[in-house]
Amino acid sequence: MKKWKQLTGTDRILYALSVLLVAAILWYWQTGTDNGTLNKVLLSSPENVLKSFTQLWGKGSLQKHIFVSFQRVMTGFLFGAGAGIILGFILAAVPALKKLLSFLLGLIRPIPSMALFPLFILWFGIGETSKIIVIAFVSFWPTFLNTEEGVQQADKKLLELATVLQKGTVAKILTVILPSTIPYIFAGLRLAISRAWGGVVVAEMLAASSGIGFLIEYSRNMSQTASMFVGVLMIAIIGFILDLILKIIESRICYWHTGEIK
Amino acid sequence: MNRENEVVISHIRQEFSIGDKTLEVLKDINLELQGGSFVSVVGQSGCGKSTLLRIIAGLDIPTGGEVRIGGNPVQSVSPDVGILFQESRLLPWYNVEKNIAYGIQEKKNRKEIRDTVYELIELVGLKGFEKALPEQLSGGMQKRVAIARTLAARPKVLLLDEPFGALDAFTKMNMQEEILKLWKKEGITMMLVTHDIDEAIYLGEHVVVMSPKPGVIKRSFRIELTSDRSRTSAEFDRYRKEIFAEFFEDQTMVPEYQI
Repeated sequence: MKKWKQLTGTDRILYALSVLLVAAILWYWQTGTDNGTLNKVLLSSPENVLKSFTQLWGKGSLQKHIFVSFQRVMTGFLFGAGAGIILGFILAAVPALKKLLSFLLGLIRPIPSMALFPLFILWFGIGETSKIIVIAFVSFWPTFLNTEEGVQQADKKLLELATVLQKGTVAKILTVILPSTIPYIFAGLRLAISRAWGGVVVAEMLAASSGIGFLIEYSRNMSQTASMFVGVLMIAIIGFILDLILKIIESRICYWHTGEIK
Repeated sequence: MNRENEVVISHIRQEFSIGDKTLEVLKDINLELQGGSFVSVVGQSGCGKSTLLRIIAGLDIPTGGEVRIGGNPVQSVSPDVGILFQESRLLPWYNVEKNIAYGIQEKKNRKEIRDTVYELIELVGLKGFEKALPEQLSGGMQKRVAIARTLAARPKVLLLDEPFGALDAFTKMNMQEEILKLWKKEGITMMLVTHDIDEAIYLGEHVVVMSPKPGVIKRSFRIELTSDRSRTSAEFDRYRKEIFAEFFEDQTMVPEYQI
């Protein structure tokens, strides 16, 4: 990631403006609901959302919801993304297996996760397992597809060089294929984590008694617009932070993209 | 004369099939490179010169014929034969040191590896850049790293596949100078494949002219330049004209536009 100091003047202005844009939306939201141009029942107001936030936080229920959702996302993500990376490597390495599985994978891939969720509930019960499986399912695809693509995109010329330098298969994988696949894997992971967040919220809306998704759905039933917004904002903020963390990890691992010397 | 690093190419034939047609890329190539000699191969693109080089390196298997290096037939890639490709082909995730160490073939301990790498860095003049990543280096410096990496394998034969084609004119001349120095110092048999006639004359003791469809050796020149190898001397110009004529003998050069 680029440091603020490395940015050009125009870029700095644009980034500052992107923060200002959010601030302007918040300002309009507040003044609009205050003077009645915006519907306060449907939109609540930043002030009320903040109030609701401090209330929920004070009771400790918000932290609990966040923690529960976070745990589900992380568990499902680890299983799904892990399987995606492993299978991605295997299928890229064994083209025959890839062809063999192509029809099956092609059929399963377009199924929306939420169409499968009721089945998962039927099979694994309404508890944690079905939610974790649906999150694993959505995390799997982007990681799998990107990993496989990454392996295939490994530079043929570097592989040829490794051949000339008498490197064996294991050495080729470690020195050429793995490093060139890492940026692809991270692209997949970033997609996967945002989908996982989406997955957990929907799963919790349908069948849960805790978690951010449950908080939003419960607040809707109670017509508490402000706490619905609290839920939505939590998803936005946590999703943003998770993506940022992945970006930072990526720039540390893929130092050769950032020009950092190691 | 050194028998260990002599290269004998006999009756090499290479055919590729495209659809149901057979394309004859190389037809009966015979060439002998004495140990420690420098041979340049010039030809237009498509004359099979790179294919020939890949066969010598053991990267491609010829349809017929045989290449022997130091008396042993080439069957696959061998540590005795190094290649310098047109692209530097450095691993972007390795710094200069590690990229050079990547070329080492013998089993060595940490200290020996460090010493070898250090020597090579000195040799190619990259002191102070040990920790730099490829993307931080200029094209010429990347090429130096690639040369050092190739030498790390201690090859008896070095194949140069248009190695300076992508460099600017001045860097190119510098690198040619470096290669000549290395060749004189290390006694490695070198074979350069290029489409740059000047480069071929400047570097080679022999210049072999190839012509396409099918790829055959058309003529071979022995280059005898005075030791300073001036690119502007009259004898250099004589070779240039002679070799030039090989390419345009059956067609008078028609300028594409009139001044």
